[in-house]
Amino acid sequence: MIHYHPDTDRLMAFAAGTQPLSQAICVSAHLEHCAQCRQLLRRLNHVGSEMISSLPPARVPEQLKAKVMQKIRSGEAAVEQPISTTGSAPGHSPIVPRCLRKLVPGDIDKLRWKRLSPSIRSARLCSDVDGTQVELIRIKPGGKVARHNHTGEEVTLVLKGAFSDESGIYRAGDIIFRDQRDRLHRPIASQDSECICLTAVASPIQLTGWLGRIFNPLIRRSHYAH
Amino acid sequence: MQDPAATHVQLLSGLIEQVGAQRDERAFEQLFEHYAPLLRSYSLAREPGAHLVADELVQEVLVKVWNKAHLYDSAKANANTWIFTLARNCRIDYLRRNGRFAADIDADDLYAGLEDENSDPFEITQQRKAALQVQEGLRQLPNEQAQVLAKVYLEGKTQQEAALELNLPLGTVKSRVRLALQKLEILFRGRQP
Repeated sequence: MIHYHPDTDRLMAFAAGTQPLSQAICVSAHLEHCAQCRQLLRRLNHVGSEMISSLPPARVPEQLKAKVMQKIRSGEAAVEQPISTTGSAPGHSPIVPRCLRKLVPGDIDKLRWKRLSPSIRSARLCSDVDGTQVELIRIKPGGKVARHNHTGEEVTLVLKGAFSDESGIYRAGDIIFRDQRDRLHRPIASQDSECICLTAVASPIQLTGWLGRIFNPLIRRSHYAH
Repeated sequence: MQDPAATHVQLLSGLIEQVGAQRDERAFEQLFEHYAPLLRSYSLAREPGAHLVADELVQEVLVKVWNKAHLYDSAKANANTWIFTLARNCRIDYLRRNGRFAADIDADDLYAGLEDENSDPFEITQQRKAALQVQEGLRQLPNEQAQVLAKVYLEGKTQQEAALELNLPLGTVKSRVRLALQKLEILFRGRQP
């Protein structure tokens, strides 16, 4: 059962295509898990489609139709096969969201995992033009992420297992948005299994406390380090 | 008596199916006549004056219509909504090619399998009703609410960008969006904003 969803504004941005790619990846992965949000997305798409339908039609240059007809006749246009949307692709770990299959080929163990602490590893998948990093994070059972504040927005989607912080318990499919207004965030993975999350982090987060003051300058890259 | 707008959408859906089943060029030309001017407007809404970009979008979307028509199922999707998703994806890919997005993920990857209606007849009926409610509701929406929806869906702005341009606090933009979605009966009762 999924308890944490993107708010309607974020789903609308996804429907309209105005979200930064890094966030859209996380929202897409959530939608794959969540029938309720998919239903809302389809309703939000109706708004876009009716907005386009009610636009004043623009004049179309005469040669445009001929160009398109030529393209479809010349075979330049190739009839597409449906993208498989059921189950997992052969060789893909079932936890990998569909939208990331190009970036996570096959087994996730083969990604380049970087050890951030004895209980946390991360693998970078891509970065957005604004510098936002999209990563997979693996936390060992019971593993703690260092207490931190956020200086930008952090989106987390649970793919496997569960973790908790001061505000709740998050399980597969749950999506969580945190920013600078959320003080002192300290996630802990559940004791019974490894927790794997997809994250998009906009800018470096800050560790708090005296250790944080010493280490903050050093953790710009490995911000989940314990 | 049936709503003439609903009949028109059904006609368009039938044309897409004809293209899918028979590669019917005549049906395709009719789709071109209807959608090309709207798609051009859609592109110009985001980049006024960028006529070449608009022509490019029209071509890309219509070629996609030809290539994907056999995957279209009129029982499950409204023709206009299907075209909207193709146009939006082409816009996203255009922006990505021009450096606004990094990474090798294209729009079809992001939306694959998320937007098809499921085959539950109850939900199909619900969605069809919802589409008509939106059509009807948009006509009656106060200007200031329609304006923020246009900023997001047509001009491709974030809510922050819309607030800046309209010289409004972000909170006002958010509440106008919420009021609009309630009027269009998009928000389920009880759903948190």
